[in-house]
Amino acid sequence: MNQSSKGRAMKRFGIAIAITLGASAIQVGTGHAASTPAPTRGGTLNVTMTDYMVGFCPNDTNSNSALMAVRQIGETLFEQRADGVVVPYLVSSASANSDFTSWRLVTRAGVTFSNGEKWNADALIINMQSSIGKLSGGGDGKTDNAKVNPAALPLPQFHGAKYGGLAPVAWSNLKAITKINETTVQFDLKRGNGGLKELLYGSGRSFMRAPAMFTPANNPGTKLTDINYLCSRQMIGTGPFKMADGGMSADKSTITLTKNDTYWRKDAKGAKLPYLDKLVFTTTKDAATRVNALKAGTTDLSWFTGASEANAILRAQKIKTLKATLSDGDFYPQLWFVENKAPFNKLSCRQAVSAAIDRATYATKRSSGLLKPMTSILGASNLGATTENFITYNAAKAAEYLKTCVGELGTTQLEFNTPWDTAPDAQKNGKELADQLAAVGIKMNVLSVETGTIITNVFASTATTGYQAVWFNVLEGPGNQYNSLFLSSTSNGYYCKGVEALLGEPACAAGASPDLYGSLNTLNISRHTDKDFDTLWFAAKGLSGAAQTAKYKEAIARWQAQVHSTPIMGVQFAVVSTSKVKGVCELKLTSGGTGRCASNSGVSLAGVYKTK
Amino acid sequence: MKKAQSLLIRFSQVALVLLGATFLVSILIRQLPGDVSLLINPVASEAERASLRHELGLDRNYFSAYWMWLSRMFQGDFGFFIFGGKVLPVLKTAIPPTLQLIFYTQIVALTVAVPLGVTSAYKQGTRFDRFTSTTLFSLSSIPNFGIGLILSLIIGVKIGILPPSGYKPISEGLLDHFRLMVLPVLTLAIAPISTYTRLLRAEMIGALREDYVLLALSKGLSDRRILLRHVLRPSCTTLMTSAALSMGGLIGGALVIEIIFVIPGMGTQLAKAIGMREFLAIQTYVAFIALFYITFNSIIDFLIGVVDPRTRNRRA
Repeated sequence: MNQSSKGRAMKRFGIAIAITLGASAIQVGTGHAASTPAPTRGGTLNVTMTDYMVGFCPNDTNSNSALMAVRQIGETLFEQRADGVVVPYLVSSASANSDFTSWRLVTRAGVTFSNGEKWNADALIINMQSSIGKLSGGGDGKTDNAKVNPAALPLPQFHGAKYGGLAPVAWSNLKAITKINETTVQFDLKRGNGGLKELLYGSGRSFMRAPAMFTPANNPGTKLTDINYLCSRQMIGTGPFKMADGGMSADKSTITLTKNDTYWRKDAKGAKLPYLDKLVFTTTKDAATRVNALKAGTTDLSWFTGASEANAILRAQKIKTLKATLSDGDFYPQLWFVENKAPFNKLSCRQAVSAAIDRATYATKRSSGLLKPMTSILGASNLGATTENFITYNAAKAAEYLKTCVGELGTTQLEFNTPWDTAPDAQKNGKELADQLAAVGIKMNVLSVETGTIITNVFASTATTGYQAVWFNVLEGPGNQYNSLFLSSTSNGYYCKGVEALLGEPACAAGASPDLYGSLNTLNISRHTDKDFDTLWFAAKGLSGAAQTAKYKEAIARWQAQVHSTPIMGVQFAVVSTSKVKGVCELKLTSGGTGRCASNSGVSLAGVYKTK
Repeated sequence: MKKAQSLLIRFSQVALVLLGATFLVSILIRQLPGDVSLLINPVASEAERASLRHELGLDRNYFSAYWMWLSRMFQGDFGFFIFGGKVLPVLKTAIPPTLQLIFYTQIVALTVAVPLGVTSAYKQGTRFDRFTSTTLFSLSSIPNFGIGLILSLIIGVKIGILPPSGYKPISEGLLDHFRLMVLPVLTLAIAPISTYTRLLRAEMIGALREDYVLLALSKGLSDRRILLRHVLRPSCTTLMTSAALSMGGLIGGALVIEIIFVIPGMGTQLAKAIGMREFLAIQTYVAFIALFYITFNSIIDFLIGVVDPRTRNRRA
C-alpha cells in the first residue's frame, strides 16, 4: 500500500469515524429530544364553554361546561380514578365502622385556600353545614343562620336560595357531623352507607369553599332575592387557579382566573403547579363556532357534548391540528315515565315505549355512530349495570304491549307529551324518537321547552310535573351514590312526610308514616312508589364489594322490569384542544393512579401548559 | 312654537310606544308556564314560595307589577337577575357592542347599496343590472346565520385572514376591534344591501321617467349631475325610511349573529335571559331595544326632513 492509498484509507477511516460519532451524537440528541420536554411555564389559555356561569353558592347549579371553570378553583374531598374507584383528594383518609353508619375523614395537611385560610376540620364542617342548610358548625344552626340570613327562619335548614338548595335532600341521611380534632371529622349516618366517599365526591360537584364565603360579612342579604352574597360572584377554593372578586363578567359569559401561587400540588418532578398564568373561559353557545375558533387558533381548548354536538366532535377529530379527548360514555340520559298519572301509570304502556325504540338506529342517525346504544338503564361500567329485564327494540313485542296498554287505558291510542330543549339539535333528537314511536302507533308530542323550565317542573315539590314523560340526563358514572338521589323514591330510605321531618333526627325513623311521600320524592323524577326497588337499593348501599354489586344489579333488574325509565344511548363529552396545548390528563392523582380524564365537567387544567 | 309643539307630540308618541311595548311584554312574560319561585328555590315550602313571589311582585296584578317595575326604572333601578346580579352593569357592557354592530352594518350597507342602486338604475336591463339583481336576491335569500357560519368558516378558518369569532372593545385596540367586527358586519349587511339596492334602483327608475328629468336633459345637464342631484336625492327618502325600519330587523338579526360570532351584546343577553326566564331583565332589555328603535326612527324622520323639504314643510 503506497502512501497515497494509505492516506486515502486513513481518510476513509477518519470519515467513517466522523460519521459514526456524528450519528451517535445525533442519536443522543434525538434520544434527549424524545424524552418529555420540560413544561412551558406562563401564558394564557383561552377556553370556550357552552354554558353560562350561574354563580358559586352551593345552590348555584352550574351546568357541565361551566363546571369546568369552577373545578379549576375549587376541589373535592375525593377524586375518581380512571377505573371508577373514588380515592382521597382533599382528605388524606376516610374510614368507616363495620356497618358504615359512622365515618371518620382526615383533612389533608398543608393545604390552604387561595385567600390564606387553612383547610382543616373546621373548614370541612362549615362546608357540610352549608350543604345541609345549616350554616355554621359547632353551634345552634338556627342561631348562626339567623345571624347570616334572618329570612331563612323559621326553616333555616331549608333556606335554599343561596345555601343548600337540593343538597339537603341528598344529605337527609346525615345524623350528625362532629369535630374530633383539628384535622378529623366524624360523620354519623341514620342508615349505613358504604359509598359515603362517592356521595361526598358528588360526581365532581361537591367543591370545598373557603370559610370566608360563609361569613355574615360576606352574606349581608336578608331576603331570598338578595344579590349581595359573595358566593354569587366569587369562588374561593384550594384549586390551582384563583379568582378575584370581579373575575366574572357582569353577564357571566366570561370568567378570568389567575394562577394560585400557594397551590398545594406538585408535578411528577416536584415542581410547582400550575404551569399556566391565566385562564379565560368564554361562553360560546354554537358548537361549529367553537370548532372554527379552535382551528383558527383563537381558542386553545373547548368543551363539547356528544348528546347534541356529535358532528362537531367528529369534525374536530378529523382536523389534524386538533386533539379531541373524549370522556367515557358513562352519562345515561333517560326517558323518565311519570307514573302518578295516565298513561304511564300502566306498566304495559311503559313497556310499549321501551320496546318501540330502535336504539341502534337512533345512535347512528343522531350521533353519526359516535355514541353507543344502551342495553341497561346504566352503562356497562356502572356497578348496577345489567341487561336483565331490559326491554330492547322489538316492534312485534311493542305492538303487543301497546294493545294491552290501550285496553287498560280504555283509549284507542297511546299518546303523551314530553318536553325537549329548544335547541335545534335537541328538537331533532325528540323528532327522531317521535318518528320511531309513531312507526308502532304511539304518538309522542314533542314540546319545545327551555331546560330551565323543564327542571322547574321536574323538580317541583308537587306530585304532578305537568308532563307525562321527561327526557332528562341525571344518571352517570360507574358508581351509584349520585344516581341514588334520582332513582329511589325516598332520599334516605325512610318514608316520612313534610320538609321538617327531612332533617329531623329521629323523626323519620320513629314517627314516619310509610305510605306518605312528602318532599322526599322531590328528586324522584318518575314519581314511582316502588318500595321493592327502594328496599333492594338501600340494601345495596349498606354493602360493599361483590355483595354490593350483586345487590345493585338486582335492584336495577327490578327497575328495568318495572320500566320506570328507559335510555337510548350513553353520552360522551369531549374536550378539544389545539396542538399547542400539552399535558391534558397527564397529571397523576395525589393518591396515585390516573384520574378520570375528561368528564361532563371537562378536564383539570392544573398540569396543562401551552407551547409557543 | 310649531316646532316645539311638533317636538312635544313626537316625545309623547315615543313615551306612549315605550310604555305600550314594555307593558305588553310584561303581560306576555307573566303568561309563561311554570313558577319562577320554584326555579329559585326548588324545595321551598309554600310559605317561602309565597314570600318569594311577593318579593318579585308575582302576586300583584298586571298593572301593579308593571308600575313596580316602571317606578324602579325611574329611580335608576333597572332590576336584578333572579339567579344573581344586577341588570344595569350587564346593560352597560351589552349596549356598545350591539350599537357598534348596527351602526357599522348600516354604514357598510348604505356605502355599498347607493352606488350599486344608482348604477343598476342607470344601466337598467343590462348584463350588470341583471347580475347585480340576481346576486343580491340570491344572497338575501340565505338566512344570515347561514352566511355567518360560511364566512366564519371560509374567511376565518380556511383562509385565516380574519378571526372567526370574538369581540374586543375599542379601548383594547382599534385594529383588533375592527378585525373582529368585519365578519359579523358583512353577515348582517348582506340583507340590507340587497333591500336598499333594489329599492333605490326602483325609485330611481321611477324618478328617471319624471318630467323634470326630461327637462334637465333638454337643458343639457350631464348624466352624472342629473343622477346624483335630481334623481338620487328625492329617491333617498324611501331608502332612509327603509333604513330606519330595518333597524328592528337588524336588532333581531344581531341577536343571532352575536351568538354565532360570540359578541356579548344585547342580542346575546336577550337570548340568555329568555332561556333562563329572567323576566325582569327581559322587560328591561325590551324597553331599551324599543328605545333604540324609536330613537333611530326619530333621527331618520328628522333627516328625511333635511333631505326632502317637501316632507319638512308637510310636518311643519
